[in-house]
Amino acid sequence: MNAREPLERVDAHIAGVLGCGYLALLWSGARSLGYTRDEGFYAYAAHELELWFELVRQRGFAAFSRANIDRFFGVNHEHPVFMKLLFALSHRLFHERWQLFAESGTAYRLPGMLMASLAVAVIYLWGREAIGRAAGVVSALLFAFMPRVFFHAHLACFDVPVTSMWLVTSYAYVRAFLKPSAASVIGAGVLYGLFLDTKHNAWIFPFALVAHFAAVRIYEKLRKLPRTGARVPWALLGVAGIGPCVLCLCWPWLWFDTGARVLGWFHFHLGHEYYNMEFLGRTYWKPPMPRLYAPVMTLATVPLVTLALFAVGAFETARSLRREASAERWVHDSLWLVGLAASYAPWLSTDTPIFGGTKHWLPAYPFLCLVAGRGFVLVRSQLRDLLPAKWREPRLQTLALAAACVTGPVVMTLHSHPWGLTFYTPLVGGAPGAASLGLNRTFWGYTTGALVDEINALAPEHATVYVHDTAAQAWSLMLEDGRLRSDLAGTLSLPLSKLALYHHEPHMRRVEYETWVLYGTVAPVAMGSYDGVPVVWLYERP
Amino acid sequence: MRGLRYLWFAVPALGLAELCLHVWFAVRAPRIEEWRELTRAVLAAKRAGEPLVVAPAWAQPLAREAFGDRAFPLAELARADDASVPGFLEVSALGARYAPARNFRVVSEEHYGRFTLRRLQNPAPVRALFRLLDHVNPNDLEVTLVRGGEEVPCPFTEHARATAGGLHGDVALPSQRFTCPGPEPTFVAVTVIDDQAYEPRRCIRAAPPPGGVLRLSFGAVPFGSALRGFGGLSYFLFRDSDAPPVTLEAASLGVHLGSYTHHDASGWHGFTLPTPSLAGRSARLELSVSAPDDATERHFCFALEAVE
Repeated sequence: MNAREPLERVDAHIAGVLGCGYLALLWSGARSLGYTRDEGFYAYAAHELELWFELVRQRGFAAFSRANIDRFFGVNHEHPVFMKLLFALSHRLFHERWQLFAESGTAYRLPGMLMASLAVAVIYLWGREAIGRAAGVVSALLFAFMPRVFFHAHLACFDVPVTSMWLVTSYAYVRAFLKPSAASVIGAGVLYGLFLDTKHNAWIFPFALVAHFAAVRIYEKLRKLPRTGARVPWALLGVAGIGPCVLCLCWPWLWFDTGARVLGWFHFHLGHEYYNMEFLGRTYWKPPMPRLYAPVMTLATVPLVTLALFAVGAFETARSLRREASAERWVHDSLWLVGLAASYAPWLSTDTPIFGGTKHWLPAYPFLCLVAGRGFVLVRSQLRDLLPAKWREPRLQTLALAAACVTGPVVMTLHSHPWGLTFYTPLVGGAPGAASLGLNRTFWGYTTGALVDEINALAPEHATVYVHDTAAQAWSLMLEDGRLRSDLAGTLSLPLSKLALYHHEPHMRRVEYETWVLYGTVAPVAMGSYDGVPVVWLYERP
Repeated sequence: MRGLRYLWFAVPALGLAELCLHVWFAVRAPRIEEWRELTRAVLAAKRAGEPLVVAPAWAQPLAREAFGDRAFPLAELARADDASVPGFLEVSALGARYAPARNFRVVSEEHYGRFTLRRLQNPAPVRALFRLLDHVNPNDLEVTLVRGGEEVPCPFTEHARATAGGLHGDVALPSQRFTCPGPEPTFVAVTVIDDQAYEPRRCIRAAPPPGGVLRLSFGAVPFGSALRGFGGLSYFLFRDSDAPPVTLEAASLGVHLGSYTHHDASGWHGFTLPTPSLAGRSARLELSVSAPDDATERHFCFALEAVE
């Protein structure tokens, strides 16, 4: 299979199998994963949107009045609404109407899982088109089996969806760039609008495209190659022109006081509050943030074999710049590299918050894996020459190499569930090594999900449980899903509680000390740990 | 150079090696069941006044769950520092050591499965004659609040409503405390705050109200060469604070022994007030805790001991 051959029907089947397989895997693990703080907030916002759907059904156009838009879209308006609308729709259809999902929370999570699966499928398709079939599969699997990606892929949040939208929009863009047509240009623009409507990472995208356009034209000029695509960058203009219009159309919050609300959106994220994050034994809560955070956390959480293949792929891409006689490859590769660099770029500044850990730069990972696909092809071709003739059967060799490269990430990822944020690679000694190094063990309060059996068993009837870092809305989801006993109440008042949760982060330890003083004990009654590292624990009032 | 070509095998080899290392690291640390199996040996070896320390430190919650409160008295767990402990009982896993006791002498060492139990001896412990923290009760301590030229007593109660502010709120106040009357009551009680490493420090919370001075009077304190103390506020709450400092003044038998002024961002901070003229005598110790008149939320907490 040569690269840059048109996609065939079988490729659509492979993409479908990869995407559906990933969706099934995510779905099978959703119940064992507790709800994160942000999922609680977004589920609440989605619930408001479901009320708005009902209003539309009952009162038609009246639902679109400013008062109603402000009321129903005002909740969590610091984030655009595309995913929240999908969460609401999924919940309304799959949980409430058709009852396909017994758990309310899983229905909210479905759109995020679908977005993750879409990303896996698109990585395959793009990798297949630009590199080859085997590389496409390997790239897709390397992405799917990044432990942190796998964790975030379960959630009713925006981080994996925005990763997926960056990838899909880039793929549409590159096709519109190479073969511009009205449909492809408009398609790229519309996708960018939805990308903008997913999360603010999309603000960077046009700048990345300008850098990509410049990189392509400079390369063509230096190598005296014929121009790829049209003289006028229609795809870029489509993205910049159509995208914001689609955003305004699809996000009703912007229909009124548009200028002020867009500015408010920008101000919120450009001046975002700093939350605490532990890194190498120190808690950071204000600038300057450590510049090494993104590279070290990438090294500590992405399987090393994936990074090694990426390094080989980047080397191969650099080498090809001198050897290739066509700019088309560079159109793909430079968009991958630009996408990767743009996704990491904000963390070059020491003013950029780091509270979300690796999720901040997840959009870089599909591109990292596509470049790793290039590395896979180079390694395969080099090994072929080194093997004895009788072992050079291409399919067997490809399969063996793919197995050697992908088995580790698959095993690590499956083992990481449902402790995705506690997982670290062997490079830092796994979870115990990371704990010794002072790397964050958990945040977002989702690990309450790991102690529901103990809470249900230990809590007296109608007890109140101090939920600590678990958001009230996330606790409510667990009650609604029947994971927690229906008579239990979550509280943020330690004095009123009978049981108290503690999710470990150094800056939160003072909460544990409050529990010691009020409960008169320092001994937890239940422990949630991963690979011998304590993550969340439960106190019982004696 | 021909040999370098074989470096390409390093990529699949790396994948397989990483897999093997992952499996190894995943099972390397002891599980909670193993910690529980160690309980009998630990409780048999545990001596009062000799804190139990766990290495690596992140495993301590597992030890607390497994060994229970008997192994971890709060006074030892949230001690002011390590200088006045005679030694430690160290439970070590993964080859880790309790770093602050590196220079302590290893008196004994026993192995239990994947654990090592060591008794460590402090080569030069500071000997405490009297720890104020052990005497926050109505028999040993009188508390008054001086405000507007008037001094009012702050009675002790054992049944006040315990409070705790959560992550962003005030530290926990137990039911047993002295309560100074006022529009916003002031309390003196033993609690635990977080230091600059977010470690626990047990201390006497004595937060002077705006315009007021808290007076704490401890009876019959056996004095030595000095009063050795630490002061602080919850570091998480006050790490960015530039609020006016809190001053603790000490006096005995009408003699001013010295003072300590605490700035919020310095975290849990040590100080020494020499008392050579009182060494060997027992006398009442008068402490005054104050802040500038307009200062609010001066949630000062301190530990103080008379040392040889």
